[in-house]
Amino acid sequence: MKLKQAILTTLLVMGCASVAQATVFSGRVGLSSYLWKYREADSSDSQHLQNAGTVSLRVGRIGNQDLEILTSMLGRYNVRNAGDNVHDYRVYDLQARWKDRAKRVDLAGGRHRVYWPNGTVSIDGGSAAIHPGYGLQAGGYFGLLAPDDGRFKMTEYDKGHAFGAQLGYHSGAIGDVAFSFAQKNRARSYISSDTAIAVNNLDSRTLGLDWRRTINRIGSVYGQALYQLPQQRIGRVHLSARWHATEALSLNGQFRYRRPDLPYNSIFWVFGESRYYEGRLRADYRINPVWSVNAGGTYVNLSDGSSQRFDVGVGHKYFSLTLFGRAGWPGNTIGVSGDATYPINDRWTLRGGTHLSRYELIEDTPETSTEESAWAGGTWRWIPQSTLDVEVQFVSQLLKSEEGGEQGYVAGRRDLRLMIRASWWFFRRLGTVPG
Amino acid sequence: MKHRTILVVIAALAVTLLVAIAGSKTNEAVIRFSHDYHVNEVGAKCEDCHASASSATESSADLLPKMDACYTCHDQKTTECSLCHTEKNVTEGRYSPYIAPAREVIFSHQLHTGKAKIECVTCHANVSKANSVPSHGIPPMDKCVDCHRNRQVADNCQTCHSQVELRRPADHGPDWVLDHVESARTNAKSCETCHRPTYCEECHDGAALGLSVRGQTGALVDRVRPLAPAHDGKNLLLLQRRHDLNYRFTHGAEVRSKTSDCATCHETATFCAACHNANSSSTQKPVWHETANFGSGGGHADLARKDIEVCAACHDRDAAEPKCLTCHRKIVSPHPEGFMKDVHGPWHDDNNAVCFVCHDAGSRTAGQGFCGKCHGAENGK
Repeated sequence: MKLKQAILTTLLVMGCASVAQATVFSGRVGLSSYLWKYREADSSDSQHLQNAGTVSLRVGRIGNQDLEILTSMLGRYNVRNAGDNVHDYRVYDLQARWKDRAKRVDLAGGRHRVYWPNGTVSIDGGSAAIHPGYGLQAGGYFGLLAPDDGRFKMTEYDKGHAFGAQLGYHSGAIGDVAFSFAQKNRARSYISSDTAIAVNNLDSRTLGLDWRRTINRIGSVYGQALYQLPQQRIGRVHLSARWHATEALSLNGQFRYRRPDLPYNSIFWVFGESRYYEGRLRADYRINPVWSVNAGGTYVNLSDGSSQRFDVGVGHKYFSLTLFGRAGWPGNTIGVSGDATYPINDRWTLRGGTHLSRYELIEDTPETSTEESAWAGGTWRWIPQSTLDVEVQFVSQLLKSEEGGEQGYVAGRRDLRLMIRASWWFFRRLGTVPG
Repeated sequence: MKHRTILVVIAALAVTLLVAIAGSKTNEAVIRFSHDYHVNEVGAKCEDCHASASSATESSADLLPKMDACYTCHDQKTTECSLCHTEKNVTEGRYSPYIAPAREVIFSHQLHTGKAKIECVTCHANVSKANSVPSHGIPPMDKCVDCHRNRQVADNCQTCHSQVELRRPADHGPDWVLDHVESARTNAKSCETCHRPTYCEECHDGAALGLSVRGQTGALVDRVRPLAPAHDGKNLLLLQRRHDLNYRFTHGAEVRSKTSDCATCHETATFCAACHNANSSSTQKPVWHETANFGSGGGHADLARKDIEVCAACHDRDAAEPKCLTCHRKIVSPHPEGFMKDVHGPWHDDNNAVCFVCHDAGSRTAGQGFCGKCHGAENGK
């Protein structure tokens, strides 16, 4: 507890000092209320009200250096029907970041998320990226895993940590290529015969290879492969090719192969040797700057089963509409999804959308669920820095219940929700303008 | 019924498409003009022709020179119209005027060339080399952003864009949620033109969505997806940004059809279990659990072989007893034939290897117990 207080005090002092030293202070603050009625499984209704505040701040150019502090946080207060979860908060990000003037070195420390090499992870630690020139780039990260609930606390080293490194090269001839290594350790235990068994905390250890080559005006190719070191097997392969057949028509083909996404210290990865193969074709046609159409189809082959997906859509500057479907072992689905955003003028914007589908969760079962959802609302930007958003949402679905008799379904549940949000962004330059 | 729905929707799409094609227009060059010749050969200055630029306060201002400006150099009496005007441009015997494309960007030439003292060529660098019009002289957005950041000027989207809700780069197509990985993994810098590093977390830090709320009855209620701290797009709720509002109902089908990799954003060991708590009486069992022979009849094995991730979503919880162990520890081996054969796995050196949840490390003696499965006395290993 003392350590936490010391860290908080230090951060507070550093924060105040950094603002005083900074030349830029900007951010975004949001306040919202979300009211919703929920139909419980026993057909009774419950009403809920949650207030939330979000803040995203940037203190930049501290001490006239390319040093900045970034933070992004969320706090929620359940006013009504909170149960045992009255309030909570989440620190998404609290990091200091420094770049040298030539932008060859980029250092970050604190809570932040790293997106490479293999997968993403949120850490309380440091990361570095170096661009020494000649098309080379190198980097690495090391940190404790940020707690899942986002609280301001540090995970013990043995409970979870992650580290990784990447070496990349860019040239016009071969494009971007990157080799990477990543390891994540996360403690877990199992109960077996009433005895807790702590297992090795190695969650994953992978080698990765990424390659992307863009050919101007023609298209691009991308490839990724991950090798799982503990299992000594290829865990994932992703190949993608994009071809801009004409200025308006773009075609994309993809192939994916992957093993189940399970931690190495999960007992589930020892079950079977499932593999997923996926082939995907897609076409996008831009009729003009306002209108476009698109269509895609996917075939997934699983061990002892398969599934198919398709979607056909039309896009407009102000709306999009998509017909989609699925078939095969995950069940059959047919549905329509659409959304629209229409600016009446610079201050008022209307928006709305809907999602309708009929589906069966198991192939060839007699039960078919119908779900509908819709939302409508608007944004009022009374000054450029500030907006007020209002949105009404409606969600409906057949609900499974033991009261429903043999079929297991009762009449449809319907939720109605109202969200109101005010947001404000600001930018303050505290020093002089550089030359 | 299903086919009729499909036909209606396809017909609606076809009609919309026809309307779109009928209404489409193209924008063609209407005059001949070489910036290269006028700037580099004649020695004209930008302000000679674009005199109103330095006082313009809106991006939509028409800064193109009128013909009077041309006639300050060209002789009106002797200059043929066709020197500048193209034949495409003739409508009913008259040359139609050039209509500048609509621009929504909030931009003041007066501010940039006056107070900020920025030279024309700083932004319109390549115009002086253009031999035709349009000269594509509008600077790319990353140039604006770089300059704003270097000069410590506001770089929020709303600084320059009036309708942020509608902004979407051309390459952010309908499938961008899936496709962005290709550019983000190899060149994340381009993302930072518009997005702060914290932006990605709003979706990728999906563990945040795992905070569940319980009603008074103890039953889980809908999770309220956090509002995005850095939100400036059209979708207020994270849920709408990535998933549909009713995703609570439809995600089962999406997960099983591998529409996306849940683990990219969610820590599945804790996230899925927040609702799919196999040990809780309030958790609704998935419908496939109620099919005939699901348990000991082998139905669950078919499911597991197809998609073990679905099983793990509920049953692989930290600090809990996996139901599978009831049978699979002693009665039925879960391993496929040749599983981890010839691999020097962690069980050799680590008594905490996951293997020992089921297997007994015993005395680590060849020919005995778990070790004896490979290191039998008979083969002398």
